Amino acid sequence: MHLTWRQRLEANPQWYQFKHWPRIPQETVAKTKRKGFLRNKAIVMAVLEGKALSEVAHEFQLHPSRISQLMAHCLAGDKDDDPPLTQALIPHKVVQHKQRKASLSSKHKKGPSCAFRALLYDVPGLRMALDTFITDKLDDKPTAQAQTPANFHGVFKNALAEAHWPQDHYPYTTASCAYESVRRYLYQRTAEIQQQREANRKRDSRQLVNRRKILRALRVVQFDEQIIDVGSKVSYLLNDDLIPLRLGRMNVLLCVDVDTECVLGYYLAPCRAPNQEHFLALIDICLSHWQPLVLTTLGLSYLPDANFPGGLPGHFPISFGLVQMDNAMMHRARSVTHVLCERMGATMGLGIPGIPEVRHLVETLFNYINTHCTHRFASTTGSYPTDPNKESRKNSKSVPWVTFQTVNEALSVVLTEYNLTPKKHLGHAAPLELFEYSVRNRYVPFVPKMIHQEWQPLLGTQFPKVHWYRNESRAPFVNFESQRYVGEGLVRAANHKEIRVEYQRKDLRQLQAFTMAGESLGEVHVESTGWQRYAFSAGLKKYIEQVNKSHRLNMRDPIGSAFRYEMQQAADSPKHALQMLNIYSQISQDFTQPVWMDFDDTNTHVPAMATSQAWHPTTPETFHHRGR
Amino acid sequence: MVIQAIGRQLTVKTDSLEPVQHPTAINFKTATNFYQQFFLKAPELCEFHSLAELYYAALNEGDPHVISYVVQPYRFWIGKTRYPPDVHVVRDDRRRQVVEIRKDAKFDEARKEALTQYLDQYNMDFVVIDNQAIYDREVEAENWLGIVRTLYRARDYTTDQQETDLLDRITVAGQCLLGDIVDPGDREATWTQELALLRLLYRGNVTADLTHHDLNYNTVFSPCT
Repeated sequence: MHLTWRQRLEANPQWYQFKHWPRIPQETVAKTKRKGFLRNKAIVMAVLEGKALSEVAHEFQLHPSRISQLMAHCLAGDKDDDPPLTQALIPHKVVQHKQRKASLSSKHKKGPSCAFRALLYDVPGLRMALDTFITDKLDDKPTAQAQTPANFHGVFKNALAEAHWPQDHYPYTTASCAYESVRRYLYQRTAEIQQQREANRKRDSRQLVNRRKILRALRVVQFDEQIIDVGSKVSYLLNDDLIPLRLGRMNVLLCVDVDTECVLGYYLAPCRAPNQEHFLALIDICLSHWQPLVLTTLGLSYLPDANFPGGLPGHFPISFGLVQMDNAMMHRARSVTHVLCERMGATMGLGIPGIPEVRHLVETLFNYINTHCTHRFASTTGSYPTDPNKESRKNSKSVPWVTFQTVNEALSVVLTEYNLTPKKHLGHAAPLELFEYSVRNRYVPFVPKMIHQEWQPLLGTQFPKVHWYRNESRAPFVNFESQRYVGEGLVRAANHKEIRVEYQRKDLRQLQAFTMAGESLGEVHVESTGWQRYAFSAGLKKYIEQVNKSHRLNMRDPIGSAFRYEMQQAADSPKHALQMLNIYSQISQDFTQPVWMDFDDTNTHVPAMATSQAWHPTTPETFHHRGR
Repeated sequence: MVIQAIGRQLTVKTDSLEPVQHPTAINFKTATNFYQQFFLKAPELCEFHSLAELYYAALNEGDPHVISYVVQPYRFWIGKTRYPPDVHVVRDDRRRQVVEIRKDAKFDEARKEALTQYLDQYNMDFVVIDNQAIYDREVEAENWLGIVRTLYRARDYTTDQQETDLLDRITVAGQCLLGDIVDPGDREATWTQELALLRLLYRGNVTADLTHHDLNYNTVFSPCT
């Protein structure tokens, strides 16, 4: 039912007083319309006070019908709709949606004004068909179409045809068949439906206690890893020729303290898929006393006082409260759970899958690394084929100038610099500064030395059984990682009973054996001479066994054979070059030990490069491979 | 072994009423908000499927009337539906409880009735707790999580004499601050005192307000009356 402005006032007498109308500050009205707004406001106030329309019209030099029109604009309308009131005082403001009164037939020649809106009401099934097109896509149904204006227009025309819409009616009277209206309706309606769904979505009703959290170091830490998109190289010397190799992309693992936003440590893993051993190496780095790298790259230098928390004077022992990680397989490994939960007493949280925002801080740090370090170079893949950030074809055929060591040093410098950069949201304090303050002045859980030194993430423990077959005249042995380990002390252990062995994860050549009562049985070492030559980890062993299945390595020297296998393909394959570097990093124990390699070509089908080569890499970035 | 009880309409069955933690399936571990931690009153590495369950375990650790608890203790069949409750709690002030932690404490009434009647035969109560009731005690839960971590790390070290001395000192003084016991400048030297104090708190010999504020150097400890 339509109400006039007088009827509206009778039904709502409170609107006789202008103070009950919604207030619109004049500063919010555009300057060009402010004068008109104030005049309209004065007119309405005068009418509401009871002045005659003719009197008001005379005062404002307008026709009385204009006054009546203004009042109707503010108050008249459908009984069930709210009147626009003060909004209608703004000149030229559209307060009521126009409705088409003329027919859509071409005979009436009223033009297409508001025709599309009228069409949605008049054509049966049209609105539903158009909404279904949109909701199918939002519901991810298999029958959903691509949300393009052309497809939407097709649905529109289909719906009109099914409703047998007369050909002499709008939209058939337009050249494009209302394409532009359909296109605008698609975007508008999609936004409406999405907003409706968002408003109705069940939200987490959890209401956490609103308290000002005291920033406390080591309360929550976040771990994550990411492939860093930068091409790098490593070189090796073959018969006095220095051969550079392009490396595949490698991973950086990061640990950050949430409350202080301080980076606790990082680890650059020269591999495409880091495993639990790399993760434990990162934990070890975080717990250990950090030493700055000797920077060999020209131009790189640490800021004064550059540090990670583990290297701070005072040596506050690092421990973890809640450890937030994603649910990658290496995070769920038993060794990781054992170290974090059983040894360190921390809480492990894997988070809900597919929501990295839970660990937003470490993700932000990766962005920081990208911005300040790795993305300063050309992208290896680009986001699309013609991405200007992508490395050009010419450069991709040659080897990058950045070395693996440079990347490692750059990360060290960038992350220590991050720790020293004041942050506005931390009260203009640097993360490292805040960490130091927190451990000195807040009650941060403390771990005494006698407990802290027991937390050796790279020290593993297992309980294998001793086997001793005296009828075979064989020495007692234990099976560990599919290899036999022997040692003189095992004769003191009871047959077929368990013993405890401790081992360094990075070097499984020897284990320390103990009885279950704690008595030392000395060292046991791997029986196979092939595995005795170089340090190896369980991950490396597993990798070599996998490669051996397909490529039949010489298992009398498994590590050397695997290394040579990778080296022979490294020139053409960055992936194999990276794996070669990974093997080298393990046998040299993170580039700390020099390694000599002899290649024995007996019984191998791999073509020999030379009969025997002694190989001694002296620095991580250069391998000296000398032929004889 | 199948134990049956007839509820109003539903039967309840289980293989065993011995509370033993059932390990979480790998797929469920990755699908849920999964937590793991060692606690002191629980026999093994506890696995939790939500933050509310983790907090509830921490609150149990801080409740001196709770003797022990087991998470994911049973596998019931209610009618044709499998149902694993969240916690089995043993208390010294009331009957054992089988606890379900749910958002808005919503639990089907028929199933709840069947389970309640079934557990009543074995002198156990079935309790449904709202997540929000646990989240309202977030500060307390976080404090107890920190205390439990410290106590767990030091589980192999004894502090009997220090506890006795400290309890006498607090009783005589009436109260003391954490900062009176722990020296912020030399934590190593006062670590055993700190450990002793936390153990007294854990056992309920002393009390402190952990409900509203984080544990800090100005937290007041007073003897339990």
